[in-house]
Amino acid sequence: MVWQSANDSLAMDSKDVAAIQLAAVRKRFAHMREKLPPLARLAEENGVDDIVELNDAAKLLFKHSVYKSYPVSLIEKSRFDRLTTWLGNLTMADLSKVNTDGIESVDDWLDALLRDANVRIIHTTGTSGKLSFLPRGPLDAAQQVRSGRLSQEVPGQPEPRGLENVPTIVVGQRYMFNGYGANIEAMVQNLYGGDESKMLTMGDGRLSADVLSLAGRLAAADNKGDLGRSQISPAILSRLDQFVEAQKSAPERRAKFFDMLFDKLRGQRVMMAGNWSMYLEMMEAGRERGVTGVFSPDSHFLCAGGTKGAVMPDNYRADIAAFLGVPIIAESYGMSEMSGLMPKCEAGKYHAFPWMLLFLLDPETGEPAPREGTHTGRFGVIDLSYQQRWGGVLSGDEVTMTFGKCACGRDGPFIDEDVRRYSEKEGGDDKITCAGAPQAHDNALEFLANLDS
Amino acid sequence: MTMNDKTFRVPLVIRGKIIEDNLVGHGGRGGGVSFDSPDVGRYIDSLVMSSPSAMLDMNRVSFEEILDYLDSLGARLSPKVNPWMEEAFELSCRTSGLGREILHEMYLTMGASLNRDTLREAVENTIGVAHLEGWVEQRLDNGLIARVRAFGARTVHIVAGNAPGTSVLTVARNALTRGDAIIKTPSNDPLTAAAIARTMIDMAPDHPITRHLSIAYWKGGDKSVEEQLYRSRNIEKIVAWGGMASIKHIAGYIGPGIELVALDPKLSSTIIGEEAFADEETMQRVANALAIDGGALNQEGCVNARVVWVQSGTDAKGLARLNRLGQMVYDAIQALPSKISTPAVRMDPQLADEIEALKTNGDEFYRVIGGGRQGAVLVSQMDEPVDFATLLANRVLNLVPMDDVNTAVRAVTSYTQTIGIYPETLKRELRDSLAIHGAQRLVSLGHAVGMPNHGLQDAIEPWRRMCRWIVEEEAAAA
Repeated sequence: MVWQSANDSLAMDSKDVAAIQLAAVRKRFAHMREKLPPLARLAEENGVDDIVELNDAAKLLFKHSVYKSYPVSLIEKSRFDRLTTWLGNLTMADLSKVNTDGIESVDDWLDALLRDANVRIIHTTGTSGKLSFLPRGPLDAAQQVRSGRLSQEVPGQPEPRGLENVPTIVVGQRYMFNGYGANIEAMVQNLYGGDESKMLTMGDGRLSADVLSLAGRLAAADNKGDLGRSQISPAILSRLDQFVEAQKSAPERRAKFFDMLFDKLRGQRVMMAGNWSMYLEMMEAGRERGVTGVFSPDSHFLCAGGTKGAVMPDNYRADIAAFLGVPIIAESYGMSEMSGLMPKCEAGKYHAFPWMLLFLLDPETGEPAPREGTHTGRFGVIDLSYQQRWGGVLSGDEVTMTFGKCACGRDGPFIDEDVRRYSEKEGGDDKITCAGAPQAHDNALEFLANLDS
Repeated sequence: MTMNDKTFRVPLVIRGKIIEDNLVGHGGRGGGVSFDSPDVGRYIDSLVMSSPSAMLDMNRVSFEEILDYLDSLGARLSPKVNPWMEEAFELSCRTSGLGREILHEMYLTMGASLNRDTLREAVENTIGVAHLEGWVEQRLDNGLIARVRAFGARTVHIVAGNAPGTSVLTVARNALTRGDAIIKTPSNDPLTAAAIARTMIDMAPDHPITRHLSIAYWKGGDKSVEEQLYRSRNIEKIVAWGGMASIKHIAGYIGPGIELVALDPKLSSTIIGEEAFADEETMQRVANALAIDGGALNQEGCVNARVVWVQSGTDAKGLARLNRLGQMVYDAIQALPSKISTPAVRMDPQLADEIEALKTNGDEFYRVIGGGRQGAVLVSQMDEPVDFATLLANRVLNLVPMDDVNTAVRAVTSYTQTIGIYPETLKRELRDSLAIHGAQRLVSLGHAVGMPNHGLQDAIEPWRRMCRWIVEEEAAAA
């Protein structure tokens, strides 16, 4: 199904989709439950033995924290063998050939997983700074590439052609083991046939998982006093120093990159995926240089992830599109746990592709909302395109979801534009309590914690 | 007075005057509770004390008269006889993390904390009554005569909302030190301080103690209020009870002329020696005591146990007995009476997710006993606390095995407040090194949540620091 066009997928009748989803989720569950112990435990805990109707599967969503439920001390103690065992419970791929001898950093471990088992990790960081590790098995690579590709389309417009000749702009490093990096890798291999020159990255290095994880690791260490500090290896700390040093020249490098973009690619057709803060930075850089309407109008820009709580200037959408020189910026909602994102329609709603089995859960009780009408609650999904990982995950996002017809004419489920994190909602007031401990001590750590891009 | 399900009114009280105009709305925490209160920014001029000379009336009130006043106030604070306190109790039931029964007990017994003998003991042990009543003379070696007296200060108190007792304690401390207090209330308990102030106005509207107390709610960090208020001509001290964000906000205003008395946010822990496993009966006693340290006040306090280091041993035999102790602790928490502890009123969703994830993950690293609103005991299967240890709340304890008690000592940090220790001999053995690592209060296991009367807190003496210590010197005769 991922192989049909985005428009065809989104145009499917919801009853047909539901029937296919029920068959697919039953098949996936039957296939994986005995092989993935966490899934078996979750099913047993919630008394789910069979999926008779779609909402039965709402009890089979992993909390997003499952993918970071390993003790961070395994990293400090270089117990990558145990970390591999832990990860092995979360993927159908065979990790038995992964050789962790002598590995002392997360980056090296990620490389070993790719080299020895063809498993690519997609990592994410939350507010705690602890990395989640989402394993993508070899059988899931192709689907993810396709699903990711479809998310970049604008519903209602024909599937773009000739993309193999269109360069991609990446405001980031060439090598990243997050969702962004996985797509870059996939495009180089599948779209550009290995032609690296089409991938215009700001940096040609690597976004280090060790550096990304340092904030969480140092904060965890601080919470354990002398004991914690003694567990952080000096090699990692020196890496932090190098990184901080490298960051000093970052503004200069960014400026150079933008100069190149506005100069060399002026008027050309390009592609880019990013978030609003990236686009905003680009626009500000362009305004400083007095440029606007930079690229060809048939360029493709995708924005994912909303504003992440940042305060945006008025009319930012229209201003940024005008600056880039395109009529519209495609928008989408999703999470790293999903193979692709949900594109926003003409009516401003995010629509699910047929392989995304959505749920709307009561944040208090975890009960799924009936699959009709409009409800506000916690967003859950089973991504049925995954063959080697259980695709069920419960987010920390509050969304408003409608099962029914959208104003754009397509069937739901779809969700409203206004998405927020439960953690922001809880913490956004003026509660004062004497209990607590600092999460991060200094600006360097806060900076590191915000680095996930 | 608005008193429906959704909107409460929180008055602004300025030195005996109740203000309920120029209301603005505030979203309280949890449950969609919101309340209205006057826009404090419009009343800054009257909120700050025009001139220090206005403090003189307090100086004419004797210590005994202050005790009389507080004693009478204490008798009027029961929600059974006091509609203001009843309303504060009702709002707290909607905003607090404490269960209704626990809160009810707290409001019923709040007045008792103003008992004159208790207060006299506290003052005597900290400031010394003589220093409040007059100039205490000391003769120095070089013949100089120094006379020292403790004066009150113009102080903003940023009180914590996790237990209503902090408001009444602040009122008492302000009166006894003859200060002028502006209490900034928190959104998780916006009304208790105002209810106490209203009771004082009903009881003695013109008394200097009534006239040196103001109560205001503004959202912490609101520059339109704080930039005006936090100036050295307006106040001398800020006493801040916790709240990481609030202390960070305030830090920006601290400079010459304004002193910060910070009762920083803190967490508490427990150290249990291997003696706990001497026999079945001892284990049960330890489990019961630990259940109180962790479960009382629904673990909302900084004093509550969270991470529990246990010298069970980290081998298979050690883990087996630790897991058994974990079950006993969980059962003991469930058996706590509802006046002391209840299932979670409001779950921290982030913590709940972490615990669920551990369960799904299996018990290789951590064993989860319980879960959900009832609370949980997370038993580490290696000598490491869970990575989310700073989130522990809602009656969730993390038992961590160790071979050597020194592991626990090294895990103490500068924001470790109370440590409950078993047995007593271990406490004596470890107390110096625990203090040096950052611990601030060492108690017998089972006594973490007691409210002692020694006046020490967070390694400082808040009573003494609330005063301005003034010296008069008389040179030796030539």
